[in-house]
Amino acid sequence: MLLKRCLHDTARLAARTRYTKPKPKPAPREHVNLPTQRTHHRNDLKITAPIPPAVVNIQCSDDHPLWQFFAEKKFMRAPEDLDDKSRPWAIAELRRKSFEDLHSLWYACLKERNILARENHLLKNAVGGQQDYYENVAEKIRTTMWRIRHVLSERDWSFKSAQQDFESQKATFVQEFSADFLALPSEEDEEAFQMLSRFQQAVYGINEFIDENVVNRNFVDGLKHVATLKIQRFATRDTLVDNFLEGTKERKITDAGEAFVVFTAENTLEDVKEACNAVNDLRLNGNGVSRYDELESVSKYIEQLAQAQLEKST
Amino acid sequence: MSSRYGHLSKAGERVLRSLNNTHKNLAARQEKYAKISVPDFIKPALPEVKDHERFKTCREWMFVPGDRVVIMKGKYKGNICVVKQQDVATNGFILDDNGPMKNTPVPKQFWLEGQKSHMISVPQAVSQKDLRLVADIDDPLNAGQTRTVAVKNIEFKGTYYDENYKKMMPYRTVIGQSDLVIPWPKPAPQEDGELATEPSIAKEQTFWVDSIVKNPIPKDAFMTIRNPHSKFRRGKLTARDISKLVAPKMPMTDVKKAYIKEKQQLASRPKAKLTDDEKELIGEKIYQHLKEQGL
Repeated sequence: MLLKRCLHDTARLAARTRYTKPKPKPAPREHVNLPTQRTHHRNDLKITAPIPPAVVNIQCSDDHPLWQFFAEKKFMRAPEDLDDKSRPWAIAELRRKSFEDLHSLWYACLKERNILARENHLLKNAVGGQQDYYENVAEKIRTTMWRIRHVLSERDWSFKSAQQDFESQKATFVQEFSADFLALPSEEDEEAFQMLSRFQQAVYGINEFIDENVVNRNFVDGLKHVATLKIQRFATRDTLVDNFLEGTKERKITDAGEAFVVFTAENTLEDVKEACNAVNDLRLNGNGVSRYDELESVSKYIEQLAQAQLEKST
Repeated sequence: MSSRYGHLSKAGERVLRSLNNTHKNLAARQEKYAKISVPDFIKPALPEVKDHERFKTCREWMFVPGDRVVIMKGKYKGNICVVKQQDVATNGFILDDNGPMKNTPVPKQFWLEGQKSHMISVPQAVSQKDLRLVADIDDPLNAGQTRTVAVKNIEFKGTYYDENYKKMMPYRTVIGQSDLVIPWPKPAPQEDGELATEPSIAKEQTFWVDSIVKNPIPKDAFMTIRNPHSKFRRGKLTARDISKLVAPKMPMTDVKKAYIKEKQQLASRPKAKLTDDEKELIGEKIYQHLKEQGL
């Protein structure tokens, strides 16, 4: 189709004739990427003698990360420099080590095996040797590494089975501990509260370091139980604390907010009395924590406590 | 076939290994030519033993470096020597200067430091059956004095922790006189290797169980400790495994197919229903019959 139908104005403007006014030139662009080569190729190049490859020409910093693949910055160690006398770690030895220790030992092994693998590869390829002296050492290190994994796996299984068995014995254990804790005389307060601290960590996972705690049902139950034990310990020494305990249901603290106040109090009679007063105030104001909001409220308290400790330390 | 990447991959390893498996009828011949082609200064005095026949434990070796032995056979019979080295490839013992030596020419590129002549004397390995252990025992005739004796045969009884070897070792006793223990020689002291750990650090206990609630291992570490998706775990069967384990269904014969079709046809026939008239007729018949019987 030769003619394109347009509206009157459009057709007139779009028409290009000899007499139409030429369009203005576009404005020069501001951000233009220059071509990579703007001049002619250099024509003053000369042929010079080749630079022979030399160690002097290679620059490498002393802290280059790839140095970790070298032993004492040597290309290859001589077989007599290798440690072929040492034996791998025994499983019994590894069982005594914490996760952090095993983790760092693993990486120490891995680094050494990397070095040996590099040297072994060079021996088999660049040098053309058939000997296995690098491989023999690496094999011993590999033994240590699988043993680390074995020990950790075994530790996990035993933890899980212990956890399962403890379910049925928990009530008796807690009862026995409570009796022992309350039976200790007041002169041995320090020892008793150290016992309590270990107990709360062992059974409820309540850590001394506030920010390491994970708030769950078990944690909140533990908080209540520990607070109750604390009150019960001081109830025999002071009438105020005893009266407070009398006022609670079954001589136990059942409110998470109240438990938290008592829990955070220092382990002295004065502080516990103060905590009892604070709890009484809470009760007067009707500031109880519903059982359904316990987890949320306690995690909020823990967060605030951690924050306060952080500010105090800085 | 090149084996330059044998340390990285197991590909082709079995084929390469099979090259060493010669037929038993050809073994002697091959050994003969191997012996001829080896230069004299490398040639072992004893025949090489196969991998599975090599001695590994000290019970098998019976003598360790440092032991005194007497040679029972050959030119050097009666010489008392000290074991210098165990020759792993031949199950033999390299002895000190009193033992058998061989004068042999050595090419210049293999000369040792300080060597001046082409000819050197190389110690020859001696087999275990040609040696007897030499020990100093209390003389029963002269109290307080010791006698040097050769032990005809030894046996091993019980184990103990040897402080010098840093491992469990058997008691080496004279056969028929189990209270006469011949102690293992003290090995030459050697320095700890650079990969070794201090005993105090190795023994130190840093893992303590302190909670039944918190797992001692961080959650993120589990995928690298134990692979939960491993095919070696119990109860992990792939579709391929199942197809291998379950027998395929037997195809039906033509007769069986026809039988099933017939059954279906018979089942799909319309069922005749008794009409009221027919029921009436049957009832009438029964009534007549009973009437005839006089009931």
